[in-house]
Amino acid sequence: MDAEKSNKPGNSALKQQKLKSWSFKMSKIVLGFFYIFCGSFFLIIGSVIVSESNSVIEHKLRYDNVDACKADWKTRPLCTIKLELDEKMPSPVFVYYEITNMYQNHRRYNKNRDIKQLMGKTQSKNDIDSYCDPVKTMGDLGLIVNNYYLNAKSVANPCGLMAKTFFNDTYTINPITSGIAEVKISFDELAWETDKDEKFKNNDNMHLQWTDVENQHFMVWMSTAGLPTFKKLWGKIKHDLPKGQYAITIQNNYDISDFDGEKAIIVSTTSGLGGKMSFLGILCLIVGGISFLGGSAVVGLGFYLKKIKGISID
Amino acid sequence: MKDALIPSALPEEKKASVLVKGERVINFPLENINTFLTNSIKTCKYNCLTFLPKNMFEQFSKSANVYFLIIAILQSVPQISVTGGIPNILLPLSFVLTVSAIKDLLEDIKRSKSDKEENMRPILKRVNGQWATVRWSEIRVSDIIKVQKNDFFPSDILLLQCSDPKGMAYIETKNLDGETNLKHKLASKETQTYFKNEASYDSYTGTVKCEDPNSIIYQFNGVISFKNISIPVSNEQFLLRGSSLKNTDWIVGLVIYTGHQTKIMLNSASARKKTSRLEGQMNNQIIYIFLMQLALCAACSIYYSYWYYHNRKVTDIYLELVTSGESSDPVYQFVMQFFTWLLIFTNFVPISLLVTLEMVRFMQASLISKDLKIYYESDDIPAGVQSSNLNEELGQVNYIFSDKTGTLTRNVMEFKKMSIKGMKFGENGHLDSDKKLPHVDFIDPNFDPTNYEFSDFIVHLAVCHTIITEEKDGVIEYKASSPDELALVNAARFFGFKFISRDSDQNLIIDVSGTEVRVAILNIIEFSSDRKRMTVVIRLPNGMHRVLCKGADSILLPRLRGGPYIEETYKHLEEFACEGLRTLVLAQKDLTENEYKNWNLQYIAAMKDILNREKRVAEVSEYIERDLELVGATAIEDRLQEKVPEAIKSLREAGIKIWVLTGDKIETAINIGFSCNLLSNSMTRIIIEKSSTQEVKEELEQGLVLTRDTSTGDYALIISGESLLRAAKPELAPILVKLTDYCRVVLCCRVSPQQKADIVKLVRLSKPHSITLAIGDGANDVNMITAAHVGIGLAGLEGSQAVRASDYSIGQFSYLQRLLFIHGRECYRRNATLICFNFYKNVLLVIPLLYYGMFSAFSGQLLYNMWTYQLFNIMFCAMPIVVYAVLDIQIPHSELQSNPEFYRLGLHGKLFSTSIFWFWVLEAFVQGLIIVLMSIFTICMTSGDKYYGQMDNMYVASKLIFGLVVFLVNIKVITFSYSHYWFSILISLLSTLSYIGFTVLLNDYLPIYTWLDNYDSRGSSVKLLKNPNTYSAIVICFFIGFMIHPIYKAILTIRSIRKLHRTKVANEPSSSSSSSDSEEKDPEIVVPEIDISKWEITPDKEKWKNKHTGFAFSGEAGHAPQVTDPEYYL
Repeated sequence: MDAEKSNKPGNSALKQQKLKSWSFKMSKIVLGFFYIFCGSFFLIIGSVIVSESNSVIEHKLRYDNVDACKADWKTRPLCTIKLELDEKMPSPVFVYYEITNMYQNHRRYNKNRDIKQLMGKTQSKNDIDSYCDPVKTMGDLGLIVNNYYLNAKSVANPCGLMAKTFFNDTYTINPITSGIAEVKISFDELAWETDKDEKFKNNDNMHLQWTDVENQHFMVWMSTAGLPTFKKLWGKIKHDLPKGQYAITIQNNYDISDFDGEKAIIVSTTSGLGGKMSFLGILCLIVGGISFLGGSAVVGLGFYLKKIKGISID
Repeated sequence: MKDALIPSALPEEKKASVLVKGERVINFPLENINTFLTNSIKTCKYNCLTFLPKNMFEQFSKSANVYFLIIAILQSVPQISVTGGIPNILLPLSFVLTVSAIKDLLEDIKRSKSDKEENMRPILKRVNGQWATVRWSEIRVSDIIKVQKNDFFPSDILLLQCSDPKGMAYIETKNLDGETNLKHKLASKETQTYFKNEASYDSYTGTVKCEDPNSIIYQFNGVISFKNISIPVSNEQFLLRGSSLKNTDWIVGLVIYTGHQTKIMLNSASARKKTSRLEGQMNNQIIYIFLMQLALCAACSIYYSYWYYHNRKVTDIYLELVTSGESSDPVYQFVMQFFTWLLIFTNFVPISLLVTLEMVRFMQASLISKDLKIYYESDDIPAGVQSSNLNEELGQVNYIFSDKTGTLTRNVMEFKKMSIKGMKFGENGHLDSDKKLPHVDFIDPNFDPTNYEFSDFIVHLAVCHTIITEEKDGVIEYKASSPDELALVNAARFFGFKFISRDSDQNLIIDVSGTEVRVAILNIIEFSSDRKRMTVVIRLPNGMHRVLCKGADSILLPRLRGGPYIEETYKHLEEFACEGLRTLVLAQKDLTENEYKNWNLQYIAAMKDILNREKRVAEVSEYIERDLELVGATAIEDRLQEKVPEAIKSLREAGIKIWVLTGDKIETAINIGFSCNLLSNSMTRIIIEKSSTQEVKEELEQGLVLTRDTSTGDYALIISGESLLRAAKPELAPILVKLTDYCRVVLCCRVSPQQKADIVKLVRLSKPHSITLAIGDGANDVNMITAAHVGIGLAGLEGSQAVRASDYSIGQFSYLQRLLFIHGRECYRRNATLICFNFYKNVLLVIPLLYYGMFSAFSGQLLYNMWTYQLFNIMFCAMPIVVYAVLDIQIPHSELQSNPEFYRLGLHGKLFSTSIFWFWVLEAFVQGLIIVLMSIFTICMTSGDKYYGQMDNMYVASKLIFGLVVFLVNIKVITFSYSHYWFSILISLLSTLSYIGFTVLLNDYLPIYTWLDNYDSRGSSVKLLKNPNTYSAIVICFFIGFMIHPIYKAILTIRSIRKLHRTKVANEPSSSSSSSDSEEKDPEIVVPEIDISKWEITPDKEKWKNKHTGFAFSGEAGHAPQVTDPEYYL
């Protein structure tokens, strides 16, 4: 036979399916031990997360239903609530606001902005039409326009529902019986680096804007929350808050009454894992526990059957 | 003949010849050059211009592609688009289309190249009184061309003249039918002499009348007329494109059919596309998935409409649903929302499934063809895959229909025994290999070949055949179309009568102990499957004429004159048949000069009748093939191929039913059945061989009653072709099928090619859930091979027709075991998993969007970046499953091969069913829920940043959700893989990393563009990676997501152990449940009432067990030397 013309297939490992391979076959008992191992692992992780979470000091004060803030809030928006610290809050201390029942992640809402405009470009009415409908002009914003460049028919900048409904409550915290003179809340590290660097730029002609998009509160607001109940960073206190009483004065502007929302202010420290969150830790503990017990049961039963009854479970 | 056979029993070719009605008339020189097609061929489908439109048209005739195109259109409608009006589904769609198009293009380029090569070949054409070299494509009908030795014929041409003075030309048809023996063609005497002078070509005018172009290869009839005479021409003068000229210096011919009208081109029509059962099931599931998608879209939209109706006023302060003046009609909202969700859920239908499956099957096929263990070394035949889309079908075969000769046996005939004048010769032992001639295995010290008594017999062997010889390096090679003849002629040689060659006058030259003897052959009446005999008329040196005839006993014995040894010979024939030998009866008769001359005139007249030639020749030959004198009988052994019994045993142990369909007689078939383990003596054989409907019915009913008694063990059904004709009629078919259910073995004997196919169809029809496999090697198996779900061609001695019609081809029957047990089973397992997995991963990808709807009022929030979403199927999760589906090995191949139990997996379709499929989908639903809850609550509830306290937004959660989907999907492949390679793990890892890389690149490095959709999610991927809770979430999500399955399995194990325990306590020996698995019963078959009482007494086991004896014959028509006009040589 002509060697060149032979149809004989090559004898490589790939062609003959003889490549080196492994298989992870576990016997049931080994699997049981594996579960015990994983269970222990999760129990440990769970404990760490729970203890970290517990080390966070968090105070949440709902204020929209407080009498002082409720009555005549539209005409007299200023109100004061009390914060009582029974232990010292080490720095940094973060101030958040929380709103409930508001769908920032509604498809209509979170895409309702013009990104070029936010990045500092002057956009015409046509440009923003498909993004910012129905908030396209200053008139749509419903603002009392006092800048003479702006009139009700000029392009809203920033446009869109999201910008229009920018959260505008403000807070000041004053110590009452805590031994420090004042509480300084800084606003310089609220937004992400990328927000500051890339996403939000004022137009060269600031007069065209009805608000400062480089305002970090604005940036934070524009970052879509994932849940209808959400909290957003409002300020950072870079010094310790000693034990004692504080008064929080609220400029209560933001209307949440229509959609049955709630507003709250949250003062919180952080741990190595961030803010307070019991969910993940508890889940780890539960899963770890179940896995540990399940694994032990399999191992125990396996040994029992093997030793006493002589049945192998594999 | 008993009652008339139904027409379908006629050979296919005959039926077809009736069908050719039209007539082609070629006047030449041709007045209008454009009357006929040119000779250029074009098998490629496209050219540069038409490729795109044509290919796209083909691809968009698939419903899946149309679906995705509609989605793309919907995506560009701004009101409903979730992708900002960008139809980005076009990205994966164009990828899928491109892959398919490239595949088509490559195939087409290959075709176009070979077209070009064919069209450019040179040929000599008569132009202006000279031979000019032109291209094949320039040949036209009525051209006169000259073909040189070893060249191919450029079109179908009529042989006018050849270098051999007698007009004999030899051709090889290897490319047409794979046969390597040379065949004769014979120029008509008139043309041969008329065109002696080359100049006569140029002045020649005339007409050729012939059939319209048709696909019947071995048929051509026509008349060529010139100078007021008409000469009939037939297949003997007809040279086919695709064959080549051998042993002849040159021929000159007239072009009759060109280009696409040549027989070979008309024959190359593409076969019907077979689809595997798995693919059929898959298509059903696609429809269900699509329906589920619509239902979910509707549910989401209804919820949103409801929410909208109740909340549009209260949320007006920030959503301005009322203020904007949009229609608040709930129906309008529902419709808009429905399409939005349709776009979000697009990926429920896996876009890449078909492409992946095709790619995987292609690679699986190449592994099959590269398997050394099914490579047949001695004939250099590797396994071949003609249609790789049936790979998984090989793992689910319930029925095997096998041909016998050449499939179970080697089709290498060895002369073994004979009977002369009432004496039997030949022992059972084997000849020493050094004394051995090929095809002869005869030992008998009592036989003396020089004895004058036996000379008639030996001469008969040496003379009555159609073999031609070719001398190669001084060695004479016999070229025979029938292996039986090879055995006979070699036997003659063994006994001292060595056939050397045919001379140009068609005399046989025989070397009788050193002296050359010439025997004049006057006529040859060929073998055909109808006649079952062949006849040669020779002139003896004394002027007498002798008719030599050989054929099947059933045909020849009635034609004998009567004589002393018939009884004994018949007994010997029975004995031979019992041993499984193939028998032939030899007979002869002397004719006087006058008798012969009278007969020959009639014969020539018959030969000239173009339309009814076959019929008339058969009539004429009847005249001399009677009152014959018995010469003897021969017995030829056709040995089983290697390992056939073992393979059959394993296949049957796996639960596959094996039916043998053979042209042999019942007795031969039974003997082969014994020798290859199909039958055993403990089996009760039910033999059905009657030939009237009523009798067959009775036999069937009797058999059915017999099989009610299960105590006697296994049953085997043996049925003859004639009985089968009746039994397969609609009224009896249910009984037959029922009976075959009870029988472990079914042998069908004396069946025609068409019947073979009919049997397969009968089983397919009555057992819709079964998969049938047909295996055969000859042209007579082609029908069966194409009729079955899977057709296997055995590349053997009988040409390549079966192989070309088949889906897979192998060199040996025993390789079937490996093909099914290893390749079939594993392909079934892997492809079933591949399909389920493809749905799983797409559902897992899409379902978080549904769950996230719960947190976003089902407003249609597309959580994912739209490009990431579309790259999922072509980048992040494309490769690991391909590696799995090509290379995964569940059980070592050696074990799969040796343990038939493993095959039952596919036999019972255990890996793909609606419930299994939906379990995968359910798993995706559950895992999707875990992913969404874990991600959202981990990321969105609190800050994950110790120093800045910043909150993570929705996009960070979305990155985690998508990442977990990619992660779980890629890990999932590892969890269900049985074998892991370094590269498979690497590919899984790289696929996962590619997501991280891509998302970081997109969200942190690429510039912000609206169309990239990376503004809102700017920085989110880095934020995610910096969040320490991400990692805990991944680990726990992975654990919960994947540990459900082992726990579920562990529970099952414990339950089964408890069961086992209980049965042990109850002291019941557990019966092996798998082997007693009952056959699936089809409720559709209604078996007619059977009056049992009528048969209650009859079953007489001994009657059924009686040994029967019988005879066999094989051969093929169409290869006799074309000596049809003996006058020519006088």
